[in-house]
Amino acid sequence: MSLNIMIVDDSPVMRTFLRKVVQLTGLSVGECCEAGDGEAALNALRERWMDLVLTDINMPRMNGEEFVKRVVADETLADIPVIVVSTDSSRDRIDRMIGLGARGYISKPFQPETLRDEIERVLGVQHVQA
Amino acid sequence: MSRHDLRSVLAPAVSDVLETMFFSEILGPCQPDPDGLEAGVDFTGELSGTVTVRISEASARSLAASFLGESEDSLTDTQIAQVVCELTNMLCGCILSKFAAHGCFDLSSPELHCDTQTNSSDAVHIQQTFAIDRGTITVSLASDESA
Amino acid sequence: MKELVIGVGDGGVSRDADAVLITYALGSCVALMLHDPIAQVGGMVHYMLPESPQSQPERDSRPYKFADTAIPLLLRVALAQGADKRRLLVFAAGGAQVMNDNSIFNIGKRNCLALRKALWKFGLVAQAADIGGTQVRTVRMEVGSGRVWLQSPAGKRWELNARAGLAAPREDGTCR
Repeated sequence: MSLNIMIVDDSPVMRTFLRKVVQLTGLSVGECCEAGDGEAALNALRERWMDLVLTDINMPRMNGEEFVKRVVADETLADIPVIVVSTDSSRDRIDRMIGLGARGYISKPFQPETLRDEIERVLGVQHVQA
Repeated sequence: MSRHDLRSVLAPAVSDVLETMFFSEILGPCQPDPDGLEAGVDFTGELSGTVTVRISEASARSLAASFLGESEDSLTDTQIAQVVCELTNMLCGCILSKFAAHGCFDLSSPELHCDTQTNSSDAVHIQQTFAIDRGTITVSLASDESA
Repeated sequence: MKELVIGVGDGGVSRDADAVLITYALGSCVALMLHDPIAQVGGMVHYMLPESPQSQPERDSRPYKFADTAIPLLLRVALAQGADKRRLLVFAAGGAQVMNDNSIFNIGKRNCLALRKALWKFGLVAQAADIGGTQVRTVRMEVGSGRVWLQSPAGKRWELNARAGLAAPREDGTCR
């Protein structure tokens, strides 16, 4: 079964980096969509189901905090797991985002394996080797 | 908050970011290079100010290639500029996180500077330059908070 | 079991399920190992330095000596021997901070960074790694089973287990 994954970050190169990490998981990825801010991501989620969202916090137009609030508040989207990937590693921020409904949180800088493991933990899958 | 406190977190923050996501390292302190690519990020929160990063062009290209997992000659100038912006973003976040573990900060989107910015008359301003592969990186923090 | 010794600055790949690839006395050098459990192809390289010189003849004469030429070469040879990149298990050991190497050119740390950079570039991730620190290591990989064993100079022996983590070495030489 293929998974659809959305990457939300205002940095195009960070989106490329995250896309590469997703490939490291070995998951069968159907679609890997990208959005530059929370509003674009929200609009895209209403068009097509995603199995996982990776989101930054500091973004223009709609930041990651507002984005997570809107996803959780929408009963058609609330089941989609969201992992926050942010430069903010403060305890206050982490607690706030998890409290809002994010299922995982990774602080930058991070090793690719760390995010890969968090993705697998949130999705309840294990990196499979032959 | 003092210059000494901020200065003490600068080198560890630069090391952390370069080693973890750019597979590179600081080689030691050195003199600043006036040329290169420069980007800045504004921050607000427990304290407010700006973090600016200036990096030699050859170093920027090398770090961009490492970050994206691509060869240097396949990169566009736009990609390199975007990586410098993201590097600045991460350095700002890492410096602030090391300095104030419990406070939340909001960061602006990083912007590439067309010209080298002059120092403002902000209350606290620190700057350190490090030798890295192919050149140098200079990290500056200016804050309007007093000591 | 047939022992195939990989020397310092050298590398090799085997399809012999009875073979054991061995490399001795990893100090600041790094041993990278690849294993395809279905094709039963195993490869090992013992590289010494992170970056190859500009001179092409030097790069060509000792490609396994430098991380940036050794790792893609090992991968190419393993794939040519029938390994499938999607099935590859990756292991690494070494990159220690050897005695008296407190210079800014800590080769062990630089070799570890070069390893992580190459793995990222080729879309690979280590199943297990024992890198950094100050300990000299000897490494054995069984081509048939893909099991990797490490040994210290004092004779202590341990198996490199999956998901032991790829630690970035700290300034003091210990693993993160």
